[in-house]
Amino acid sequence: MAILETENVNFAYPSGAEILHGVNFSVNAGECVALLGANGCGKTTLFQHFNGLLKPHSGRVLLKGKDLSQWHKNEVFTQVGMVFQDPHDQLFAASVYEDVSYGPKNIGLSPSDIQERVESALKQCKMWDQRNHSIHQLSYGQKKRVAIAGVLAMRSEIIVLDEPTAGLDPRTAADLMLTLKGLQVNKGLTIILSTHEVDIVPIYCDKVYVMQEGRIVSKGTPEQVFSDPVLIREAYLRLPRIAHLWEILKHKEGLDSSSNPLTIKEARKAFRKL
Amino acid sequence: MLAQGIRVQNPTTKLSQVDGRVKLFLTVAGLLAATSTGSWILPFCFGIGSLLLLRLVGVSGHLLWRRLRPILLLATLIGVSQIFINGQTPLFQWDIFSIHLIGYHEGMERGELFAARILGGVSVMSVLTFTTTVQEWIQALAWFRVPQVVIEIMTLAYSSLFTLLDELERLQKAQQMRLGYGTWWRSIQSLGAIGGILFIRVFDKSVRLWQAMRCRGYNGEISVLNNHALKRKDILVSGFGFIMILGSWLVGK
Repeated sequence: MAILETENVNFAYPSGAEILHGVNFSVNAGECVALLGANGCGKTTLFQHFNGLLKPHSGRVLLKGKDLSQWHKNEVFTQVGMVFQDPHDQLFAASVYEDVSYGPKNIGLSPSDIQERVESALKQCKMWDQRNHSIHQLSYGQKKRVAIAGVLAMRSEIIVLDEPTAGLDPRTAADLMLTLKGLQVNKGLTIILSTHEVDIVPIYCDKVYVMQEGRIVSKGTPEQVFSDPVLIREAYLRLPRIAHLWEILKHKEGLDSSSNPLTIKEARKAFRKL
Repeated sequence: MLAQGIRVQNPTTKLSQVDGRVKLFLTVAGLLAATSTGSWILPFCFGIGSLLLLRLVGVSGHLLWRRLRPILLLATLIGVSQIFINGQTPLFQWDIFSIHLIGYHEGMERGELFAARILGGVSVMSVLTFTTTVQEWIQALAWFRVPQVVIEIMTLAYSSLFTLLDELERLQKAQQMRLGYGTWWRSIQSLGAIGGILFIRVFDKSVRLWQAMRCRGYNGEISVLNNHALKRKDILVSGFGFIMILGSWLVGK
């Protein structure tokens, strides 16, 4: 059963710019779902519908089968945590510990419960040792981790991340994605993320949606979605590097293979079969 | 340059480990003691004592001089100017070209007191600023029940400061690279443009911050958990420090 879904969501900003057109989006509990799309295609706007920051002009957003308008706002925020693209937009407290404690304090938990949640969230994000640091002393990657810890401390079942790897070096990005995958696998969290980095999608995500000019133009497993390179390129995206290389080898070098690997692991397997 | 100056970290000293609340309490006590007497000797001694303490815990003399230089210059100017402004009993008279200057005895005493108070007050404050981070200050003020709205404004201002400085630096560099500071008139135009852009960006950022805070249950009040219990060592330091300040005040007043 879908834990979060949208039905025919349409949205326009007060300026009149129509951003979302009949968006249908569905995520099952415990899945990791990627939303791909060019800049300005409406990914962030759609994400802001998931926890009620924005309300659709028409259509519905359902959380656990219940219309978002029937939930109390604070209940929605504890169920659907959101990590903004720029951590500077999210972090405001003087120290790491204080910032992560902000959400649990607003829920009204006892100090001991807050402490337990903050410690657990910071340890999961590998930021416990920096708990007393000022926010401005942290690197960009560390700030991203603290922003995620702030949401984890809310014990949200669904975490929505707007371009979590943007601006990170490859090593930090990989570390962050592994942390998120660990949370999905070990804690059963549902993860929804938007990204331009198509190479990480087949490695970490179970399902992919492709968005173009406010419409969902493709959905399915990474294998299904990346099997249509024309659509991917029309959406101003690209194939994962391995898939692109395989495409070149097949079409220009006459490689005879029925498989379409998306990752290095899959490519190795495909090579062995040749 | 401004951004770089603000970003300079305080050196870690032995006093950095003392709880911020203790340091804040002793600083306020020290300030009151240093400024509440009619004699210049006590504030002067507090000033020299504070500077010696900072040197003793490892703050470099160069850093102290760099930070206190403008204040000391100001204290000297105020002190000297008082000599010529206040009093009736002439101490000396100078004729410089056609200007007739009279220095007064009462003015000199007043000047000494003002300069000593500035030196004492600023030096005592320096002990706090050199050894305490802003986040410790904010936590200490919250603990002393300073109104919540003041704490919230301080927290937001402090957290936004570095983001704004980054933004300012980026904008300035971008303008510089495109010769935005080639002539003085061009510089004024560039600075004006930065002011406008910063205003819009600050507005955008504040909206996004509000959204992010809403996502974490913001209900009109910024409330976070500070979980630092006072240690026995901190209470001892605070007691000892307070007795020292009180004793000096009683002797020196």
